[in-house]
Amino acid sequence: MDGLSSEEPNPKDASPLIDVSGVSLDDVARMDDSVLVHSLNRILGDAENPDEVILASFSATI
Amino acid sequence: MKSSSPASVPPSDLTALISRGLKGFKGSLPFHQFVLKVTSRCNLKCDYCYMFEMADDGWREQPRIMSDNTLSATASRIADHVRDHHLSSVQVILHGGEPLMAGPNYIATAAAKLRNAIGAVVDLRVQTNGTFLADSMLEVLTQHDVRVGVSLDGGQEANDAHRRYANGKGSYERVARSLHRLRERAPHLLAGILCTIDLRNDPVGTYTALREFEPPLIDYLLPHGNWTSPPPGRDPSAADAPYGIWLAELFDHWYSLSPRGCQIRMFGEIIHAMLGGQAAVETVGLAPVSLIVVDTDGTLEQVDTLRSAFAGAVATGLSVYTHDFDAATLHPAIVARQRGRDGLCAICRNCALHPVCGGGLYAHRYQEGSGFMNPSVFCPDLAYLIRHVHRRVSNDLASLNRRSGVMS
Repeated sequence: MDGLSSEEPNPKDASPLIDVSGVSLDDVARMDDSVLVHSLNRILGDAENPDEVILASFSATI
Repeated sequence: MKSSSPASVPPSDLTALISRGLKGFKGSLPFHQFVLKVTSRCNLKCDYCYMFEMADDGWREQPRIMSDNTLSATASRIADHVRDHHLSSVQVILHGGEPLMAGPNYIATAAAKLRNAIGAVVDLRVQTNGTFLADSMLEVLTQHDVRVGVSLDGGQEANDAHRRYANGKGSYERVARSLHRLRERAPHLLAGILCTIDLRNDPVGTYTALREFEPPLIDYLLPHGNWTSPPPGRDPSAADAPYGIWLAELFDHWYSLSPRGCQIRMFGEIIHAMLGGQAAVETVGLAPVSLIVVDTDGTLEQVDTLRSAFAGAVATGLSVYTHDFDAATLHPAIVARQRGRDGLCAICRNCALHPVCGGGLYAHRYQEGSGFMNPSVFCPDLAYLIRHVHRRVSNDLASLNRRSGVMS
């Protein structure tokens, strides 16, 4: 499978597909609520707890 | 108790894992999620059910309901695991079959037994088809703080195409009544709705129908299938992406809602992984899986959805009567799903998208002969969706940057 484009990151590179390193929680607090703002709050919030182990949760219908 | 062979991982998987260092791997994680199959039967006969309609018919050998002895042994093993690994909290999911077929008294006893035995915070949940949520059951669930996940595939026509009783009658009306009752009586207990995708249904219509019940979260699931037994509408040899297109249409609707709609777990986790976070669901991302399934007779199994691959796929050869949970943490297939990128096949490891898709759900990677060391059978769909989400989010971030001057 191809990646996103010819300029995409090396798959062995651990950097994220989208860089938000220039965004702060203060910046996000000034934006209107949206999926993107919710996502930015979550990622920036997680960055404040770098040692937390994230585990994958299970979903299976009945 | 049935005795089962531990040889549920194809030899090719083991060879690949060992060649990348499984022998020296000491980092297996303790379990945080315990799925208890308290019943092995269901009152519905959904045509896509991995439990009753696919490769594995092991349920026939199981007792109909988890006995008091098995429940006690399970609670005791979880308590030991919590103590030995200093866990502050665990999640226990009552599953089945249809777990609420056991009745309110059974659920009350099970909830009390588990909470009393386990010396940690217990996030207790039940995953149900929603047909047994009468007032007496809601009282028990409320009293014991058991959060509820309900399976529903959209509006009446969409749901009743698959989720039917054995006599062919659809389940929608009863489930809808249950969800309305739950919303009126104990809205805080509704954890979310699980919806299995059918390409014939309108994606936005499906979402709109489910939002009526005001769930905090909707979890869209790809139907089960693999390279050997392909899912409906997915030709494994084709590069088209019918599920990707379906999900992208839903994404566009959901992403544009103002005010923001209820969470769609798959999309939220894809964006999170794209921004550099760790997705917290087994369907996407590389986060380690730390769940174990206890079958109705006390046997320990890997993740239940592997039943869709081949008969015996879930077996570990272990039981709560004879083994502690630490024994299961060393099972190769469980270790494989805790290894992130190293647990993926070469094609996935060399793809730029793998930090987001994580190779897809483990069960979807199976192919007779090569085991689970393959991309997901939904690989083109996942790639299509991830590229679509990437474009939308990247463009919006750039636009925010221009408007507000952030990210400079």
